[in-house]
Amino acid sequence: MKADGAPATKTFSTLRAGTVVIGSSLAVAAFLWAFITADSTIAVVALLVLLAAFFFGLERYPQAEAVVVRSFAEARVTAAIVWLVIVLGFPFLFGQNTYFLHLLVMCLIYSVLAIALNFQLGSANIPNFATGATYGIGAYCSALLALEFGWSFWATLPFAALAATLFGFIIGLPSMRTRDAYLALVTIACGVIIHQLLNNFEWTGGPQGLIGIPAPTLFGYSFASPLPVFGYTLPFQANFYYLALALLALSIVVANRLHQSRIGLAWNALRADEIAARAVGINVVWYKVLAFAVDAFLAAFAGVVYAFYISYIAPDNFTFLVSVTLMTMVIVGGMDNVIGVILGAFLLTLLPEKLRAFSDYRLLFYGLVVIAFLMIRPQGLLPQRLRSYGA
Amino acid sequence: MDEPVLRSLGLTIRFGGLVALDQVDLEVRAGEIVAVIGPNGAGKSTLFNIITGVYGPTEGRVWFDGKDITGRPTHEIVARGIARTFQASRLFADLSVLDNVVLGLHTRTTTNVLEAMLLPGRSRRELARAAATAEGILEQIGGNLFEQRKRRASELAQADRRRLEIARALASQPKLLLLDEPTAGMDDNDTDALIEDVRKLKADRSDMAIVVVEHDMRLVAALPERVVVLDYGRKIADADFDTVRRDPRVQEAYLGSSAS
Ligand SMILES: Nc1ncnc2c1ncn2[C@@H]1O[C@H](COP(=O)(O)OP(=O)(O)O)[C@@H](O)[C@H]1O
Ligand SMILES: [Mg+2]
Repeated sequence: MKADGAPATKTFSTLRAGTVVIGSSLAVAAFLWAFITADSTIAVVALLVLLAAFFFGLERYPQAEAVVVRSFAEARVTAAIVWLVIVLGFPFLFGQNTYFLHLLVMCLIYSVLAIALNFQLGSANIPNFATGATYGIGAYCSALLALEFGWSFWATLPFAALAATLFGFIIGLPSMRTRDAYLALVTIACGVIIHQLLNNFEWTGGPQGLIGIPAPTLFGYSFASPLPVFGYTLPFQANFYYLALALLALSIVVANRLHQSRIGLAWNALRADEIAARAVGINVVWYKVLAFAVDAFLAAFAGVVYAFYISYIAPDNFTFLVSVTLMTMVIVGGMDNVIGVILGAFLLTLLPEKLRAFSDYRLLFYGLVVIAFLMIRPQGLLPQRLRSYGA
Repeated sequence: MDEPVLRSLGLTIRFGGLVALDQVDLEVRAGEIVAVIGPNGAGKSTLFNIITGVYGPTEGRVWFDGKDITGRPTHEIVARGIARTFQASRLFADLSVLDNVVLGLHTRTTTNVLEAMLLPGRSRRELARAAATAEGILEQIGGNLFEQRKRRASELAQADRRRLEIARALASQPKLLLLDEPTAGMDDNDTDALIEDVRKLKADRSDMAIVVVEHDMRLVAALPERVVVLDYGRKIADADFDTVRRDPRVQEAYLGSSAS
């Protein structure tokens, strides 16, 4: 009896988990597609209301969230396959519309940046307003290497990351002596200084910035040419979509690995109580500096991809405002929850674009939407979750 | 006679004009339980803060395990084998009960940032092993902390919070355990349970020294082999409980001012 019953229940629960995974994944993809392609103000507002209603429901019925989370844990393989298909096939849904593809690329780049910032803001509660600057350092570094010395995209990547990481260490150093609001001020100052330097140096091109950054090539294939797939041709933006996608995948892997190690746990301890963290033997200064370095490392990668994608960079792409936007993404999406942070990045990258119809009132409406979601989900759209070990 | 595990000589610290500790000499031997008592503001917590490197002393030195640790950073001192609890409990409130104890094992784990990124299996296994050890510690400690291990630390009752702080301190297998008013906020039953816990602990780890700051005289009478009395930052007595109790200076400073 028992021998028969157990496998049957197992099949059923696996089946149910699989259904939940496929259903919810497709729903997310469909919503994203609808939001990107929505062309009337009414459609955009309706979709935002739908999203708000969804999260309102989730706040009311946390059991539903638990079911989805458990299903994804149970049907790991199914989830991986479904998402692989979704993210690889997504560009095909937009035909030859380059604007929509461009939006997607920007969503991916901002997701990487938000994950980078999440190491500090989300995991360790360090307010860093200089992520925009490290993003810029990555972009400028790679652009200069490419333009001045003719380096390829791939060769500039590690150098830009190294330069930004060094900068991360340097702005991390004041965290030895300052904290909270004071540390925030120090990072703001660092961000402003970098912006001013980029603006005033001659070799960075001044306010005009750098132009003509050559598109990356891979085995003779230029990223600036349209992408042929199975007799179908995608606009050249698709190349950068897949490049940024690979970078986001790398960021997620790094974030997860750090989160599931003693490093991520130590960062969480800093967030909760710095004095207690010291008392269990955590080298607080080192872990803070480390958070700055990891943030800078990933942000620089994003900067390199951005520079080679747009092929033109200027100081105003890397202002203090970029850092504030990133912070909003992390807070709205859910601190210390990678999926939440990505969600926040997508939502807040697309929102200003979709609110163009409001022209002068765009920022006002943007602010209202942010506040509304924070009221519906005070802990973020997908809040931080407790760790679990082994079984 | 063997070397004491903890020794301080002439410890003095001034906060502005206030002399919070004044020429305090202290010796604690391996396996010994010592109580530190004294009126509020006598400098007991400050003594712990200096030993663990939260403050550097204005004068004097501290040796632990034969090494001078004066003014060393806290994480280094803790790694050498000192663990502590705080007077007002300081848990990692938004982490699980289990994670709080796993963090107590921080100095017993080694994965660095590159290993965490490049050898995820090893780093995950290390943390899973730490979690298993932490579960063992939670099972040993009184109360039902083990059953509550997946709750957030902020959701615990007061007595459980104090227990959890002790469990977290024990996780690093310290040679010296510093308990700052462990029974604060506990009722009589909880206090008795705590006394039992500490006795059990002593049986298991006979070479661990414990210094406990305490107000509850039942605990002071029951547990320690030796009682040190601080008053206005000065050490005025250092002997067994009965001798200390009869010391007229102690009675004047301590028992006279508050109810005995
Ligand atoms: N960081 C500090 N700055 C100034 N004064 C302090 C500081 N820490 C403790 N003190 C003072 O030192 C004295 C001893 O405090 P404490 O060690 O906490 O006493 P207790 O014996 O009650 O634990 C008190 O007068 C307290 O106000
Ligand atoms: Mg005290």
